[in-house]
Amino acid sequence: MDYKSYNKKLLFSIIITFLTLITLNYLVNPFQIFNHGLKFKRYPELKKQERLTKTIYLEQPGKYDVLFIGTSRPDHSLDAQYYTELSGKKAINMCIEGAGFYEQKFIIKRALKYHPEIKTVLLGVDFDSYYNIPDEEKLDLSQYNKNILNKYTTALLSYDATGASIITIIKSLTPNCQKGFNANGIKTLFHNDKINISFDTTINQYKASGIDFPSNPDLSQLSQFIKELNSKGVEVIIFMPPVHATMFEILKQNGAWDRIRDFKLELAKIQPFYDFYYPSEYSIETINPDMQYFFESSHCTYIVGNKIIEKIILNRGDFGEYAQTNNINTNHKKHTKMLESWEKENLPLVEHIEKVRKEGL
Amino acid sequence: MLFNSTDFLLFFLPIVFIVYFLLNKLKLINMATGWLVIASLYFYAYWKIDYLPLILISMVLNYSLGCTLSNTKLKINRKLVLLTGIGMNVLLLGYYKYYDFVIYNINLLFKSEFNYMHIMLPLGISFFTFQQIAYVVDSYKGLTKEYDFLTYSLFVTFFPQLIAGPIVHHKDMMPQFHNLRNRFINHKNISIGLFFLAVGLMKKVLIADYFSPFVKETFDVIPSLTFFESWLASFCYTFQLYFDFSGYCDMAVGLGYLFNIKLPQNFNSPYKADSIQDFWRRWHITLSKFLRDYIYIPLGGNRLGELKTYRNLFLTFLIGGIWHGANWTFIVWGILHGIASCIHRFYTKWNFKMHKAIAVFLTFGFINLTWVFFRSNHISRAIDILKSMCGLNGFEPIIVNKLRFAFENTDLKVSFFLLAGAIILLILPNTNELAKKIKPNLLCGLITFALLVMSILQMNKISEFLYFQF
Repeated sequence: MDYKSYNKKLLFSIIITFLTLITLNYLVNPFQIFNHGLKFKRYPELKKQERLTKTIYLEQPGKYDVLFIGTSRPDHSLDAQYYTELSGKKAINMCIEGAGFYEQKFIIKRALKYHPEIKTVLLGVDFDSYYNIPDEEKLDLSQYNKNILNKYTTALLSYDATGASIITIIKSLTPNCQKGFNANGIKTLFHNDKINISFDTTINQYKASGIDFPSNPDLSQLSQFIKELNSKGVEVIIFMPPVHATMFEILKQNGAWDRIRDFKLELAKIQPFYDFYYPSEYSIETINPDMQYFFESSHCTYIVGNKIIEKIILNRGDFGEYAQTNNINTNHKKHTKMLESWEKENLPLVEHIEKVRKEGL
Repeated sequence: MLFNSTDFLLFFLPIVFIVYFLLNKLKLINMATGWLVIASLYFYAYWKIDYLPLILISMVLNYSLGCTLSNTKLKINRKLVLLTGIGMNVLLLGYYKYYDFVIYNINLLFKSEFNYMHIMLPLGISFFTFQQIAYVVDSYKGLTKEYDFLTYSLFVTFFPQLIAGPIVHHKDMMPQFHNLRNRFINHKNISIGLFFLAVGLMKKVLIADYFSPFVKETFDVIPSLTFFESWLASFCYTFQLYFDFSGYCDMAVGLGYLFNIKLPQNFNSPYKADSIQDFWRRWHITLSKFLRDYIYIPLGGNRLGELKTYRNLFLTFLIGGIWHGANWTFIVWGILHGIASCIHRFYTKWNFKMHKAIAVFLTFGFINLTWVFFRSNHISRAIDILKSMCGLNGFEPIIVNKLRFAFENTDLKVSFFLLAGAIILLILPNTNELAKKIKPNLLCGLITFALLVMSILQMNKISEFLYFQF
């Protein structure tokens, strides 16, 4: 073989490979960016490349009334479609895993730039998202500003996209697939044999919680930003998404339980909010392979998310409290008793958490 | 524009390549050169257009100075013109690179409160300034020919080497630009170029970038490291820096080959060096050559007696350290290398010999320790890490979560990458050695194909090259 035909074959192989992958990722559309009508039974979790794919989705034409903002907790639980069904208002979920307030603020500004018709922001506030992050730890937000060429080649020509496409196909072809996510890519399908491992992994990840969180969270920026949004005619509804009781137990063992109350007080000073962050009937769900409400310590399912939406829109159900400065102390005492009662009923689990917290997995 | 971006690889490069050879095929040679210059300037300005005038002005002034100096018929004080030229380049570099550093030290020393300029360092300024100083000096010595401005512009801006080297010399580059045979597609060069590009991409995207978050976390975020963490951090940085910078240089060489331009080799398995002198013959070779030819030898080299040779060696490394950045950490790094070079010279004079393996081990250990200064943001941070490496901050086992590796088995992954890195660095032949074996056969094709495809699919992460900051 001479160099000329060698190069031709090499370049041809590369081009064919890339074209095949681009076509595959476009047709399977694992991030559901393209509106070509082809649908699969199962999609993988939409967490990989979400900063890119959600940006592409946000920048496409469309009219929205409500914007969901927050971390992965509201992302997994809040179903924009259900919100629309209940309220008649079209919602878009732009919650991003691990998004600190600086990033959430950035996304809100960007969303309002592309969709100035948005008049309501539903803001999920996490206890652990509002401390001052040093600049060197902040995420490089320039990835939101990638040029269009770069965005699409990345969405169509990357390991993440290709991997997601393959998983989509495999899961869709597997009869009675018990694991994965359903058609909107967010709602978890249940029955998870490895649920204990999922819980342990999260417990292990958060075992330092309480040491890392400062006693005085900085909510001044949030307060200022809400005023800014209000002045532009945008209403902000705040809620604290739920976590599983195991997470509260970690916080308690780390001496951060009462800081939750302090945090809520600070938050309520800005404006009253919907509080789902306490050991509720959903949070105390027993860890088992058929869990319906939580799929690990930190994340609840869309069933709980729907309850959140029902509470906020229709004020329906017992789940969730409308927290104001004058009821937070009383509620916290009540929550403390609820947690203590859960501890009594789950002593082996409490001991297990203590062990993981101290020794790791 | 980054070499490891889809913008560059899938759009910029193919367009520039096709148009360049098409123009040459149509015998529009000057237009082809002009096209390459424009493309290179676009490549430069893509990052930040504000600094485009800077490189253009720098080019025009240095070219004018070079022409003036090489014209022996002009009755001028040529030494004064030379000193003006060097001074102008050094001032330019000093202003953009060292202004805030000088102010910081003045404020610290005199308790004054001069304002900082917070100047953003123009990309590649250290590289194109050095290249042009060499050109001006050689013009003074009568070593330059009468180059036309277009070719000179291409020498300065040629995009494969513009941002982070290799530092090219006019006498190596100009003849290649003028050689008409280089204006036509050379399939062998394309094969070699693609291979270099593939290996460079793999080094950067698949290896160096893997170490990046770990290095950032350990050097910049975690307040205090334990013994094992600090050693792991230093090894990771030692590997990251090599794979990042040599990966960039491999890509640059590969891109040069595509245009039939042979850029100089910048790395030759540096961590296999058995002495500090050997290391500098293998690491950033073009910088070492520049420092030798334009600092060490003009200072007198080894011609002025033993004591002055030590002085010259030390000063050369000190300047090398300062060149790398405006921070005391780089100065200390330069001083350490200067001292080590003097010690090496001293003991080689006494014919002291040691086993090759021990020599390699000791050299690597020294390089690894000095990189701690090179990477740390502050001297105190470097000292703290070095203390940890001596066990003064405890011997606790590595806590994976503390290092923000949120998932299990990540410590195993780090170990795997370190091991893989060590094998590549210490056992396998380097890219230049491998490239010599390139043949148009299935094996070479498969390797190049696999490396290119794997790297391009992994390019969705944002990462810059470490040497862009120097």
